[in-house]
Amino acid sequence: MINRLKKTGRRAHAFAGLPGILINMIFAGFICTGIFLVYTTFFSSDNVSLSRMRKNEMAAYDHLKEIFKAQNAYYEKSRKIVGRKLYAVFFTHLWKAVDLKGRPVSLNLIPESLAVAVGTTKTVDGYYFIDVRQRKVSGKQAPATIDYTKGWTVAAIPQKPGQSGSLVLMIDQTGIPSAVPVDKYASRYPLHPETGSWTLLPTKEALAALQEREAILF
Amino acid sequence: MFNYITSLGLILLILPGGAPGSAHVLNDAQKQFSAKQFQDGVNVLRRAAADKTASKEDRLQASLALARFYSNQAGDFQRAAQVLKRALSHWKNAGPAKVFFEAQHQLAQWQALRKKERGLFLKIRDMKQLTFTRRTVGNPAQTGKLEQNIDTLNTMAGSRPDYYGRHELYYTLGLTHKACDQPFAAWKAFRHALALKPAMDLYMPVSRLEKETRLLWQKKFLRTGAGNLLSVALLTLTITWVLQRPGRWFGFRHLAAGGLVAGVWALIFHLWAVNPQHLENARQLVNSDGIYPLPLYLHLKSGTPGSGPLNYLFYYGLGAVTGIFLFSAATGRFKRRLLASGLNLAFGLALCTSLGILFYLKHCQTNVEFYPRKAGVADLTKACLAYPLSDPEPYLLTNPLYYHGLDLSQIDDLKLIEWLKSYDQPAKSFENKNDD
Repeated sequence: MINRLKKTGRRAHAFAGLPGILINMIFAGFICTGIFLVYTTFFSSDNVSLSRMRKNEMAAYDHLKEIFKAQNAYYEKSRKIVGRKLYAVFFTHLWKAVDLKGRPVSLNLIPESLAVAVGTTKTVDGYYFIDVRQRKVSGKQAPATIDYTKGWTVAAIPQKPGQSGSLVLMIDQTGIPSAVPVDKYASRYPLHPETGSWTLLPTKEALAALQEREAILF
Repeated sequence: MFNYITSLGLILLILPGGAPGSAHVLNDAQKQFSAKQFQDGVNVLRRAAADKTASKEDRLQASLALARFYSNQAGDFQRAAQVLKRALSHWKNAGPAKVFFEAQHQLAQWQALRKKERGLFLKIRDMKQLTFTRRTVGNPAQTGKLEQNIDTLNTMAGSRPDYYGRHELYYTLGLTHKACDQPFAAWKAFRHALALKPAMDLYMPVSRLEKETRLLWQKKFLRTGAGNLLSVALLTLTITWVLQRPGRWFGFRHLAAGGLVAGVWALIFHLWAVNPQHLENARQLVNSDGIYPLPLYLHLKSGTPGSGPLNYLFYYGLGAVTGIFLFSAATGRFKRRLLASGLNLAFGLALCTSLGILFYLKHCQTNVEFYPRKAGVADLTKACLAYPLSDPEPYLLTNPLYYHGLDLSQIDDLKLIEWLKSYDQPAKSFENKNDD
């Protein structure tokens, strides 16, 4: 009996410190989150600055890559949703698609904030995104209309050209983004971006290099 | 008050004492100008100047008053000269009159003034032009030029108190400050321009810019204030926590109380924001003030386009609840209970205020709107959050049946129109079902 009590006492003693540890952890988490919020308030505000613009361009690159992954996932699921294999005709459907009967189907392949950033009034990290329907071939040839069973194209456009971003970015089914300085952008998306004024950006380092080149031009 | 007296004085100066027939017209215009109804006053004078039943003298009198209004109140000397030139051109065959000589003298005076100050005028115009060119961040030449223009304009404002176009100088200064992301200085400059020429809006959109820059610096001020308040709250919590060390005596029942508080917040949030079942007539309610152009695209339920900030609201609220709980735990062993309660209240207020402001500035602004059903605190529980978007695509794309039958002529994307039309049949049966 005495042994049992001793055991219970020891057990109670062993767990007695647990709430204290937990509340200290919650406290530490709360303070860290608070400091992060204060930091973003003072140092990552929407002030116009070169570093902010560069960060926006990097974020747009990441968002395009996110859309690329989501398009591939959508392609695999598309037969169940729309009855045949194809890429999302509207990138908003990567967040919430619509089945053949018109009912919304939550996919959440991209976040809601990205899915609704389709115009200048609603942006994410200073950029909005559009579904490109045609790609310019070359010379006087008619532009190629995108066949969504084989491919897709999405472009990222800065909300305030020259302030929220200085590059227009584009990605397609190849998964390699390309970019053009906003001054040279003419609402046309070449089928072969490597041949024109566009630059292929297989890595983020390539984007950083392009940003550097653009900065030198000033 | 000073502005009012100044503008009244200016108005009395610009309205000339004329023939008795035109006296009532000038009085009417004066009343409108005194009430700051500048456009109405201008209309009165314009009508009088074009009134063919009135004598030529009266008409010229009205034109002269109108021209003086444009120059003295609106600061638009070009238009003032045009008004007088046109009025004098109709005078050719009439005999000489006092008002005719007065008008001629006034016109000559303005033309001489403009000729004399042409160099300065062109310089200011070029500086204004620069603010309209697309600004590229990181372009030091452009930024340097704008900053240099600010210095030049400030020097001009100080050295040329007699310059007739000072209002335009301040307007350009405001535009340049705005282009350099200095909203407070821009706001001050626009206010100065408006004080010099109260009706300048008829010439340049200075009031709109004044409001825009005021909102910008207020947001900046609020952001800084909320950030500082949050920093103070965090520091207070940390100091109290370290001094009191509540971790030493904290037990399971305290932890359970914390869990309960968080649970209550989650429940309140779910009932109020996520599950708004009381909003059958939401469209009418949300657009009762008519601020959104029709057709109105909006949703009220969580998970619909634009409702992303709702998730953030939950986390901000949870943060506030957690912070208040932690602080009350830290002050839990205070012997003076009244002091502890007061401190808890002050901390809670500071934390909620700072988090509320930051939530609004970071995630809402024009994206989320709060709509009370009726004015009154008792009805707050029946209020709603709406997520209006200017671009209809996300709504149409995620719920084509709900938005069936809309005018699609504004949509450029042929693919979207084609896609929406493919849901015509399901939409009709959906509508019939709803009607039943």
